[in-house]
Amino acid sequence: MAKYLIKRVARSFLTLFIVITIVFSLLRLMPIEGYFSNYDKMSPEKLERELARMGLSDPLPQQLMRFYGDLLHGDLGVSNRYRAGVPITEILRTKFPLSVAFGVASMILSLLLGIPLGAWMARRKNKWPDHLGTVFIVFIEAVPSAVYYLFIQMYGTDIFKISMLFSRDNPRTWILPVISLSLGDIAYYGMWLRRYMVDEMNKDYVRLAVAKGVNSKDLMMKHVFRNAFVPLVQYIPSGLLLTMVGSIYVESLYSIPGMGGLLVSAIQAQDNSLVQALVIIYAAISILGMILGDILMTLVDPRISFVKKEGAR
Amino acid sequence: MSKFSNADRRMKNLSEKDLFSFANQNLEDAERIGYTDYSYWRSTFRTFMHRKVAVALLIVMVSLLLFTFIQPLLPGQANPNEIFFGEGGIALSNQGPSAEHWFGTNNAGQDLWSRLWAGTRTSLLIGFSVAIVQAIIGIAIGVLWGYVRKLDFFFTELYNVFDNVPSTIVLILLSYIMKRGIITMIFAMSITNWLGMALFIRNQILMIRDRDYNLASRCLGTPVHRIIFKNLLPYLVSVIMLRMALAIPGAIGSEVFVSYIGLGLPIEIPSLGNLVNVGRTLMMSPSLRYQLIFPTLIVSIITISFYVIGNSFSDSADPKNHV
Amino acid sequence: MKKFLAIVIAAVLACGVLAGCQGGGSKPADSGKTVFRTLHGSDVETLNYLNTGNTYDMSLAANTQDCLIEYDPLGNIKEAVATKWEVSDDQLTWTFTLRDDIKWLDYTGKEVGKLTAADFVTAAEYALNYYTDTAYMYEEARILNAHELLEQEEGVTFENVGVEAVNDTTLKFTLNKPCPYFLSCTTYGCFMPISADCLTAYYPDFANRASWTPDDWSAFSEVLDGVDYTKLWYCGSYYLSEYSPSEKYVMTKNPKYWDADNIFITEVQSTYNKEADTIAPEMYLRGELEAADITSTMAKSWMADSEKKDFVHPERIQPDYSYFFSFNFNPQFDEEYEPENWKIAVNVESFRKSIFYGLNRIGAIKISDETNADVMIQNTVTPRDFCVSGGSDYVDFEAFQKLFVNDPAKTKDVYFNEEKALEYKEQAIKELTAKGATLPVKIILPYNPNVSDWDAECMYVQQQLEGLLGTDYIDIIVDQGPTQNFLSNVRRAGKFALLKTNWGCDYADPYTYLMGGPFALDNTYTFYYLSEDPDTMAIVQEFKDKCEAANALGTDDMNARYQALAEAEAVLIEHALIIPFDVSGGYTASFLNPFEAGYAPYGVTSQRYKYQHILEKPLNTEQFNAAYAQWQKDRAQAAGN
Repeated sequence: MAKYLIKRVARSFLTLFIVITIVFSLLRLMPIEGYFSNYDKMSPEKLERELARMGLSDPLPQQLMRFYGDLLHGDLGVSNRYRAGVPITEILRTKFPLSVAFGVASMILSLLLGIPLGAWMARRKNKWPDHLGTVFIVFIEAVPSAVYYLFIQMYGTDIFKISMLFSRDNPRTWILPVISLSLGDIAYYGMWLRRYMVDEMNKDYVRLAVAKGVNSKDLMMKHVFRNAFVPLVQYIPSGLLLTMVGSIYVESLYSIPGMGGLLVSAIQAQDNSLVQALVIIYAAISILGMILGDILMTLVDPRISFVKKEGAR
Repeated sequence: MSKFSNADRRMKNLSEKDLFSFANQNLEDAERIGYTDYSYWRSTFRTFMHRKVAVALLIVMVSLLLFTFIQPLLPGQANPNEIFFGEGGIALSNQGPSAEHWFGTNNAGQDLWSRLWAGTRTSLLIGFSVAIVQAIIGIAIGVLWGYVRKLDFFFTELYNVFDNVPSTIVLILLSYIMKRGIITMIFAMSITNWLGMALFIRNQILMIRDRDYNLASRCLGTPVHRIIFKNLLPYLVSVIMLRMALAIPGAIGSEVFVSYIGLGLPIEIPSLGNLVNVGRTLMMSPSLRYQLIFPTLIVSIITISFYVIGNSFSDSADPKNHV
Repeated sequence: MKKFLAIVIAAVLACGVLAGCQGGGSKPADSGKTVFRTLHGSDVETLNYLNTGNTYDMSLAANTQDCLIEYDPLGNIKEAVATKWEVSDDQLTWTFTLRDDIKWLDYTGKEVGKLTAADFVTAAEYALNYYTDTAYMYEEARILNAHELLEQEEGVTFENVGVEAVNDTTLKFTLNKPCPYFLSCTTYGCFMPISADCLTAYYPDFANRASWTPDDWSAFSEVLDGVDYTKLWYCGSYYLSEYSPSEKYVMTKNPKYWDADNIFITEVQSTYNKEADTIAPEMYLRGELEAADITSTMAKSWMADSEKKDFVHPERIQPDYSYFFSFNFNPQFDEEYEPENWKIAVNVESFRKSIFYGLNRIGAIKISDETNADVMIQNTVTPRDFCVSGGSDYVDFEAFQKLFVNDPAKTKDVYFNEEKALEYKEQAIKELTAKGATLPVKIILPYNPNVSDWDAECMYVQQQLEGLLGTDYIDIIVDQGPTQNFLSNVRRAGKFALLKTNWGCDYADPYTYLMGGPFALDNTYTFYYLSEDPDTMAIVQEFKDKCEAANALGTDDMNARYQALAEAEAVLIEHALIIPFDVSGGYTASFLNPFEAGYAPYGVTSQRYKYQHILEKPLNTEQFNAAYAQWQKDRAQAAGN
């Protein structure tokens, strides 16, 4: 297993390298005028000088080499458009922890509520808890999130008599954004856990166990739930890591200065160094999430293995 | 004791011939018992038909779909792009629902009723296309990825590459070269959507590929394609269906983002995504909320229908529920 | 229950009565509050005010830095850092005498230095050596050798540029030719002072700048763009006491400001919120903000609400940007839209005129703003309130009056006339067929999908014009342009037949809207200089001659100059080279009275909080209109004297 992991991590670095190279090259295909707010009024000399300053006038391989050189020294560069002249690390330093805090809080909440919801619905299949849960899931899935987020903010702040915006010092202003962020995931976990548990409950061994008179609570916990949880486990590490990317919409609504939407803004502003830095971070996060997901899956279900020689081809 | 003796007495009175004789064998009956007319899809269908709510929603869905095609042929329907002019050549903007315009007009003075149906038509077309493309590519890659161990390395890293090149960059670059329209929209959405499906299938396959019945199949020398089509995929039909059902409303939702990047549909092609987006900006004006309510209602009906139909269908697709 | 109901009804009635009372044109009263809170929906990108033309960036510098001169609420020039100024007889040397008691403050409000004339020179030195985003203003102001230094001409250094600190309180500008609008240029960000001590503390190598190469300036500029609020010095009416990018900023009143008595708001707090359009109005209603922008549809529903209607008023029309339709004389669009055919058509004056008189402009404006269209519509490219002379607004000059085909007392749109349009159509059909053009003429009309309502407006224009003139005559193709770099891909690339374009003014003279702006002889608005048609070229020549004639009049009699420029602008309109359209309007909800503030469509004046009070109640529409009418009257009177 250890050997497999080492190999896999090594491969991930290769992937990361390919991703960055592709993104780097794609960014160089963007039109030049996108780099300047006053492209019209620039003289050709200044244009040339500015392109040289941003390192855009050299041939692509040379630019790429320089970029990797800086990267090995831990230098992510300086933002040139999004917040001109500010080091990337400085921009991320305050934003990152905030998105992580919100992400982790909402993840915990959604696991705490979503998993019992799904299990409860499956155990009481076709009874009122199942129907009630279905109504909730259907509502969350059917109403565009942009619409219900706004309703939660408008009425929530009115009921609690708090400011509509987030403020670091007031813990009460954390509640509504966390709830908004977790609703979608609660529905997601609930929906899929129910689906997998229902599938599991139809299996012969479970039917036999029921017929044999095995304690239904034990059966549910030790067999049905454990098996049904396997496919969800894969998703949890990526889900957790991805929450750090932040939510565009919730963060915008509550004025939370997090990472949400940063990548899209950076791309639209053609802030190459910021885009590259973010791509490195996000790619590392998602690759790591995938590895962790696979490991967790083998831990939860020993029948799954990535290293066995025999078996599928 | 007495019972036995009674029977004994009766037996004694019978000759050997009476006691042992060949029963009449009815070949037709034998045929009927020995042969089961079990068909997977027919049973699935039959089980599905027992679910009243799902069937009702299926009917709603089918009628909705039919109506979007019939609507333009009905008498007295406005062209979705026609601007209605009032006095002095001023457009009849933001008129609430009335006998003339059942769902009111938008800010350009266009009839929302006809725009809504034209939009539903566009969005369902996009949704179905994206779901089908996603299913075909996603399943094909997902199965190979999950099942063929040698390819796991290749596909895992391919996935990582595709997944981590931000789609925004690709979409912006695409917006420079492609002309906006429905085809572009479908292309733009499909470019990344299949990844999720492929990963999903791969994880499902990983879980079942080494189960005993598959091991047995392999020991017996069953070819790979037969294992995939007969052993693995039928097992996954239920979850694939649910995912596909959710992909259609999902496509309507992501339309908004694609529009934001600049690959959106031009104004003369209305779509549900655009209509909801315009409506959302009017949410804080109570008198104009009708512009949000009607499209959101249609989106909700579509989403709920697909969700319930998808869930019921996957329940019915499980053979254990067929008995 | 009954009792409760009765109380509710009574309360509602009382509110209604109160609202009714204040509905009259009663004078707005001061609330005595001094903290102003608002949201900003677009992020501040840099604090380097010498290298940004961005409105949001400048909203900070406008209040935290000071200029040589400023404008009072009627638009008259007033002293600020400079107490007096003189211009030499040849109009080429401007000498400013500065106050000697202005202090530089840091972000805590602590005094860190004294403002001198050299600080203005330092700003110019950086702007011109590096060519900052707004440095072209030195060129527009006709500063001696500014153009040459910007273009890096051989042998020109900052030494040769006409900006000089004679002593601590005397600043001298030398021009290369007389500039009638020179003073207005000094109210731009790039003319604001910056202390060399502050820069040296921040970037020690700045002390050696005399020997810097362009690359050194470039490197310095990049670092300065990333400057933190704790490192900058402030000399304006406020200092920046808190600033976290994409989060919040706080400006605190500068107690040592030379005119502190006219600063009534002691603190300005603004929070960044990307969804400000949706969130701000609600927060404003709950009393969490003192001002919020309101979309026109929301304004309409507020107006219909008896309680909310007094919370909102039209935005003050800002003549800093003017919108007009441009005909393209050098089409570069795809073959399928028949560029050659368009080339023939656009050079036929009667064809242009059929569209000019056929376009229902008020109807088109109403697509985005239902109630304000009458105020927003413009019948000239130079907008109303931009310039007054001889007791009358520039747009009311005789030169324009003679072009009106409708009575301005009856309709604000003096051009839209269906009969006239159809007459020109008949004439155009004859001329077009004679020249071998095919009918219908395809007209490609692009829009940027990121600008809200532009798409709907184009559809309106298409259906209105086609409905009036007939689809056998014109075929308008509404075309969705790219969201990224729309201007360079569409307008500058010439990929349009007809396009709504806009221009922002640079200085206090209508010339900025004419040859000094979108109708320069090498413009990318109409490309008329590339027309090969003698009739069109004759019109362009006439326009050019009239502009030059106005310039030849000199700067002694400004009224005569403006009259002459109006004659030139009238040529463009008379021959329908462009179709004047509108200025941006909209609604705002605010506890401020915009007519208290200093007024100038150019420079940073309009972004200042100076002179303004936080009112007891929000300004309502009646109060706004009354104040606007009074202001127009006062301003014309002041200009007449």
